[in-house]
Amino acid sequence: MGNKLLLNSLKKYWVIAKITWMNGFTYITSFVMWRVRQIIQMIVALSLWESIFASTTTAFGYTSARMLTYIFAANIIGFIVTSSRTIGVSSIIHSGDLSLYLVKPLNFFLYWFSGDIADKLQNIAFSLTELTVLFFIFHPTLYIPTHIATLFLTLLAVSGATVMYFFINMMFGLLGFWTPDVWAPRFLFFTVIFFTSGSFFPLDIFPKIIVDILSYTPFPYMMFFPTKVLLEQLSSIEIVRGLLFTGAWATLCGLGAFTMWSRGIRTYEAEGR
Amino acid sequence: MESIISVQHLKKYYKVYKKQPGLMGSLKALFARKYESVQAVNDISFEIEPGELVGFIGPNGAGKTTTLKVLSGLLYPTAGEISVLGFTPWDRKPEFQKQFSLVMGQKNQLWWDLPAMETFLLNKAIYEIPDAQYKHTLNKLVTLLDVKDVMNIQVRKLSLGQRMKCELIAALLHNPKVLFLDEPTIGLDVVMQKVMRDFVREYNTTFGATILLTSHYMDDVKELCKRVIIIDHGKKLFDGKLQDIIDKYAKNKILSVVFAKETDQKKLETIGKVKSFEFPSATILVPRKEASRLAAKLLEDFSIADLNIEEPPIEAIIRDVFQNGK
Amino acid sequence: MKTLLRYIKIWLLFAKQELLFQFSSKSSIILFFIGKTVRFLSFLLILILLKHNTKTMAGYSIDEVIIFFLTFNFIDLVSQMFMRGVYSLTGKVRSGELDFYLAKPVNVLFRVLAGSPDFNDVLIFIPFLFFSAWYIGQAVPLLDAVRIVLYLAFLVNGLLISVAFHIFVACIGIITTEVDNTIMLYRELSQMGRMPMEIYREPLRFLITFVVPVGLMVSIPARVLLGKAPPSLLLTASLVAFTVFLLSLLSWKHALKMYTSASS
Repeated sequence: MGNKLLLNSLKKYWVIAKITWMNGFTYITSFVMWRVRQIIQMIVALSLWESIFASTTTAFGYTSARMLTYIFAANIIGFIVTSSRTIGVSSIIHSGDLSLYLVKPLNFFLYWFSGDIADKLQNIAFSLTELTVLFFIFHPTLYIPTHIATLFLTLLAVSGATVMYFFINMMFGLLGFWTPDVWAPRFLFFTVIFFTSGSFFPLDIFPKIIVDILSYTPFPYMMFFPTKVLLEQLSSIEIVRGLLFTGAWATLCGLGAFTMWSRGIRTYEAEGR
Repeated sequence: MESIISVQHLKKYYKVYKKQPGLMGSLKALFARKYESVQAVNDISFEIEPGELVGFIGPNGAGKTTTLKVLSGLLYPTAGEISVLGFTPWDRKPEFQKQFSLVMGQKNQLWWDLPAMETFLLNKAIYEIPDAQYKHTLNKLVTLLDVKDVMNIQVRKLSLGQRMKCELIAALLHNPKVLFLDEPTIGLDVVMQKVMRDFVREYNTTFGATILLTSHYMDDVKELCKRVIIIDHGKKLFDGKLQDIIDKYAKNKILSVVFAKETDQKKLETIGKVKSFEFPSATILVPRKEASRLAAKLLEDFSIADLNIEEPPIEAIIRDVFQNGK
Repeated sequence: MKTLLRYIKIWLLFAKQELLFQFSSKSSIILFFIGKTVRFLSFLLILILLKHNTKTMAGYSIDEVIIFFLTFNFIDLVSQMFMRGVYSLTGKVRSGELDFYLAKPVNVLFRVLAGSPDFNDVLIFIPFLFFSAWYIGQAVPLLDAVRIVLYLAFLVNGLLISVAFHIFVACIGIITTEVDNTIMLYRELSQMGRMPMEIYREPLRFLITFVVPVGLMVSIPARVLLGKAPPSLLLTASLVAFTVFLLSLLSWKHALKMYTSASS
């Protein structure tokens, strides 16, 4: 009986995912533009590395094949981890529409997470076509992982990264409780991610000391770490360490988000908005 | 009977930040911000029984919306004991939320680019409404509001009136026992205001829900509410039947006359204060207690074709109440 | 002359307004500044890393690639500084504010493009200029006055193309309401100009060199500086720039006519 009640109360999040999915298709132009931007970034990265490897067989310990595989894999993982609709959270707070959520028997975080899952699925579906096209243009020799365990471990790393990134985004959105301008800190964050998550170059082109310092930040665990796991370029110890760090950051960011939420609700003044 | 909504000594104070205009003001604000405390609600108490339709009226900034938001659990009170349906609203327990609904005049919960039906299904899932009950309630509401044909059209393609009706349905699918309506007729034209009021009245009778509505339009209250709570500057000025306000606060009555023969306005002034004079009609303001006597005198001293004794408009009465702030 | 002074005065007023607007939130100015600086420095860092670890990129030494990068940033920063206004054009069309502009005695195009200058970019621009000047001074061989003058001339040439393109975008913005997506696309494509065009494969290279002529804007002056630009190329580039600029002005006139003759 208890199980049925739980199932019933979770069903709503499935419906939320469904309606977000449906809604996504009504914004088809913006969505396509978003995809185009993603492809362009990939093209720049692939072109860059291709031209570098035209004059040298190895660079930073990578061969052309390995580097291009890295770029492909990192970007696929990137789509999964970073597609999100939580951009809307701060405007909901500012407009006062948050009230509409608060009066309903709804968990705010689960609501947005369900929406994000739908968004990620849409992005993955589209990116598969794009990646096939890019594959035919650049025809890199791709490295295929050899162990089943690799896929499982990658899944673990990607899930952890997804949850962590979700909470980080929520924290930025929840800043809306205290400031009308959320875009500035977000912009800084996106800029930093661009260079430290490993999307258009692997982080180990940096000198070792920088890589070590970065490993204590959440950034490498978004794309770089899961990709390295997939490409089977890490030792067992490194994998375990990375997964622990991912988990730790996901938990920390989760705590941060929940704290901001409860503090923010306390000061939420839905007056006249 | 146990009251369904109980408010005891509710107080709610806000912090508002102040900034001086201009570049210097902005620079100053970067370093030190001044704020002042606004007393939105300053000791209000009332009880509401199940099934009542109560109107909260007051000018803008009176504290009506704030009170409603506290009752919905959106705001924590600065002080006071509140209970709705036996719950403390700001605990926001799901069991509580499934039993009430808040409709705010200008806020939309329908997903803009999808048919209203999709939002209905979403709310069905959110409020965990069983299939049979959902179908039954939906049909009833759709018939009441006459929107059968528009539910499957994208919301952005609907007219304002149709959208408003669908918003109402979305808010009422879960059969709430308590309904809070915040400025429901704001921004609507005369026709739609009537539709809204008729619906609220019907909903109260058919579904038996307790309804608390806030408004600064007198007509909302006139049409709908037997019981009225008047609020101004965060304080309760009056709580009781609409008729009682009139009896208590209307100091004057209006004599509305049609003359049979030409009359001298100056002579009319001896009866009472002449509010308007355009032959053959005139209106005269007279003290309430003297109304009958002065009406008789009017008939005696003048040549009258028609005479009516009227109440002053409620708006005027309420305005007096506000201005005297008793 | 008088008109020029008047427009400068008006522009300064716009700038002051924008500044006031930005001041209303304390941290955002600082954060944006940090963000843009981080972005610039990170790219530079990567290029330097590449310099020490690889040999060439599409036939250019990494030093030369850095020159391309700096030239791109110059044009991008200046465009951003002065023409940020075009990004908010859709909003102005929708809200009717554009009609408001049309009624005023200030040139509408000027207002649409230059109406929201971003002083944040100015803050970054100044150190950027110093750095670039220094870098060019020490990295480019055979630098002489002629080359520097030609470089500056073709920077202006590139800016002309950039202005033309922003005007085209403004035209689209007036006729349809799809500016946001068009602008985003334009910006993304022009970001590809950070690196020399040669790294991209054909059709793409053609697209970026001639269609969204980021290639022309950036690589011509860079190549001038590096002594790798034949006079025929320079002539073509100048002709293209002037033609495109004139075309854009004509399009704007036309678009404005279309806008004012249509009902809302």
